[in-house]
Amino acid sequence: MQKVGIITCSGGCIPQSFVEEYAIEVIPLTLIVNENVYRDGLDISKDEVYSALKRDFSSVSTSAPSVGEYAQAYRKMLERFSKVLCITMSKELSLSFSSAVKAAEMEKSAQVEVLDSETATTGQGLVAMHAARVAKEGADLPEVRKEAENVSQKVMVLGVLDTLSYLKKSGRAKSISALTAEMLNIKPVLIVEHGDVHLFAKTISRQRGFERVMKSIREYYEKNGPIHLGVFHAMAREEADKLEERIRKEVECIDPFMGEFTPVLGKHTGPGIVGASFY
Amino acid sequence: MKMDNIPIEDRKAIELGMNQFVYSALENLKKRREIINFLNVFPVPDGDTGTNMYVTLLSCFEELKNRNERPINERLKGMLDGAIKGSRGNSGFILAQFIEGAINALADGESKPLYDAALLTESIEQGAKVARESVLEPLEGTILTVLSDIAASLKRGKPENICLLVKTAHEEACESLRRTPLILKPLAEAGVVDSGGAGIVAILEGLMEALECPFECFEWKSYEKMVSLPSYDGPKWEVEFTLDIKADKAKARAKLLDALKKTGESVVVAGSNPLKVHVHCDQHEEILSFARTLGNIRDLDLQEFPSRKSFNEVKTSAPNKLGVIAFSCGPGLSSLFADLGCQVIESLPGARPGTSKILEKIGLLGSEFIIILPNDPDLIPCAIKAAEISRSQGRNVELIPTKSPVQAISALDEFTEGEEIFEIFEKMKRAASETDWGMVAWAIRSVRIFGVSIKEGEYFGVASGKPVVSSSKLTYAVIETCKKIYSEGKCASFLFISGEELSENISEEIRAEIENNFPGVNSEWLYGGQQYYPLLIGARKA
Repeated sequence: MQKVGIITCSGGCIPQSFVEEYAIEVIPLTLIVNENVYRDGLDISKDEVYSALKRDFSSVSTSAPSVGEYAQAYRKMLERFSKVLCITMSKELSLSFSSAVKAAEMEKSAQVEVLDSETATTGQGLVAMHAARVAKEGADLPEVRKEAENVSQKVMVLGVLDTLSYLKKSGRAKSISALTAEMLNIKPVLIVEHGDVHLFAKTISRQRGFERVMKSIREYYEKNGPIHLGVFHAMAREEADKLEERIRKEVECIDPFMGEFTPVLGKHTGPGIVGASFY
Repeated sequence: MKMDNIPIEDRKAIELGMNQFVYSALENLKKRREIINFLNVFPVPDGDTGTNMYVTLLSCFEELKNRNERPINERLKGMLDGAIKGSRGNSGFILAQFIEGAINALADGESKPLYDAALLTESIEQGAKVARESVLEPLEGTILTVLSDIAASLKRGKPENICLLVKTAHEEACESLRRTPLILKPLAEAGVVDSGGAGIVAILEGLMEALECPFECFEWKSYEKMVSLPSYDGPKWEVEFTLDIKADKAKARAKLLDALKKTGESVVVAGSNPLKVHVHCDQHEEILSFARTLGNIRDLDLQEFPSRKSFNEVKTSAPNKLGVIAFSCGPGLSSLFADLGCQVIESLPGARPGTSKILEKIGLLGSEFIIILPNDPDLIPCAIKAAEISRSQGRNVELIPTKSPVQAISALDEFTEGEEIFEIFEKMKRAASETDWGMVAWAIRSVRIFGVSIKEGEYFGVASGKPVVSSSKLTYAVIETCKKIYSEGKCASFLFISGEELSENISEEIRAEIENNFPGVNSEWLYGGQQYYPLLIGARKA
């Protein structure tokens, strides 16, 4: 008997089949494109958002899920399960966590706990998916939370950027010091660590960027054995497929999946980011 | 407050035009959204205050609109639900809490009409109170302060009608907003006012417009300027583009550089063909039309300068723990090494820098640990000397004896931010030593060494310091050199750094031949711009 229901925001890119099988409730992030409000992944395709972003940077803005959306999801999940664990994108990267916490306060329900995944994209997905697996086996809330926290501490998220121009335009590069817009020779590899985005390495080509990702994965694999994997990309499916194929050839993967990078972060990294989350 | 005091227009405005009222506030918030987003000093990607407040109020308006034919209290309740449901972001949430507090206070006074200024004053006070209570640790100098100040001023001023009420609220909101940087230090440092408070001012201005009350607008203009043009009198445009060069590559590059340097600043030209170009200038048309004479422009990115100040501030970060000094023999390599975070010393034929130049650079670097990459066998002795002198002066300086820039690139490729310096150093050393190097040079005189006779004017190939081939055909010399390197090292990938004089045709020919001769071996090309050496070759081991 499953006691704990899992809620997460759409940035985690969890495959629909998994969402259905494990009864995860996914709360969409909000995208505003040319003054119209869309729910991430539901009302508008990511390609459409990225295309709009390419045409006109300022036509896209992003927002967290609302407090009401979380509150509604809590009520819905509590009809089925006795407890709820809500796992959000890192609070350094999104207001999703703050909305989720406020909704929990508003509902005045002791049955709901909110966990900051301290990571993002498929990394967040891996945290929520692990939580869902443990929950399905019937674990209670403290145990599910502990398991989720455990993955959140281990999971590594690496992404290779295609250009620095979006980081420059968004002006949100403060945490990624040592990068400047004039670095035309550089393809940076970014890492999500302790909840925030940092520079992992500067490479001279995308190819070398992917080599760095491969190297980290190999190192992790040698130490820890088979990995859980979630490759992600923004409008770069082909490269992402290639990367995934390479990883699967070189190391043993458990339930690998592919996700489309949420434009909430993609607005700042630009289309073309390709990377992998693993633990 | 007596009902008689309320002008009839006010009643009309409210009863007939409540939608209009909220809509006008919403529209005005939308109008100022970008500025309000800009004001936000706390950088969370989806934390745009203007957008979040707008989306919150939008949800509030939609619920109101859906209840057009309903009694006033139900419509108010709808607004409340909409605000709570739609709230996101801190300021959006606080706005929703304010609306909740205010509307609950109004709904309590069911017997009194909505246009009672005293009742509205009371409800605003309640709203401010609820908003404040909803935050665990209320911070002053924010939207909370602005709301409380508005409530206090209304209580003091006791405005008689709605026009006066909104006017008083707006005047106080503006004043309170201007005070926020005095209270909250990060605002003062960023030279802005609080974004959430600014949202409240925008909402009030929308209300004033709906009421058709004359009012003095907040000084949005001065912040508008900050969004597009901060206090800055440098070049106006930041221009970036990719240029596919039509004809003579080396000449075109030199011409372009020359033209860019004359008209712009922060000039960067990277790659060989296509060239990636970055410049700050006042007249982008001029630069672009000149560039068009040299080739085709694509991926053009024009930005009125600077889009935001934070990115440019990043450069002045604290000195890195690890400093790397790299020697470069061409402009392309210099720009590449600089981007990779190195201090670059240019070493051109006939102008080899000596020990003193290295010591000078070490003196400039504040880093705890410094690595020198000489990138040339001939420069290793003076680098060793410089390291010795620095160490005797208590500096921590090490040398990785790289004989070619290709080894330096392998070494720098090992660099991972945040890793232990010594670990990085060890990895860099290993990577450099695991990279075989070669080059093809142009012989300035005839000579016979290591069993190879080299003729003046021919191209000769060198693998790991030893001549291996001499030929009048560049492509042949390159392939033979690569074969030698390949058989020695069983390499997994080649790196080619092209020199100033390598023409596009020849380089295409070489690329094709490399693919034919080494199927399955990955090769990368970089523009180095070095003289006399058409190609520097690196090979990483499998």
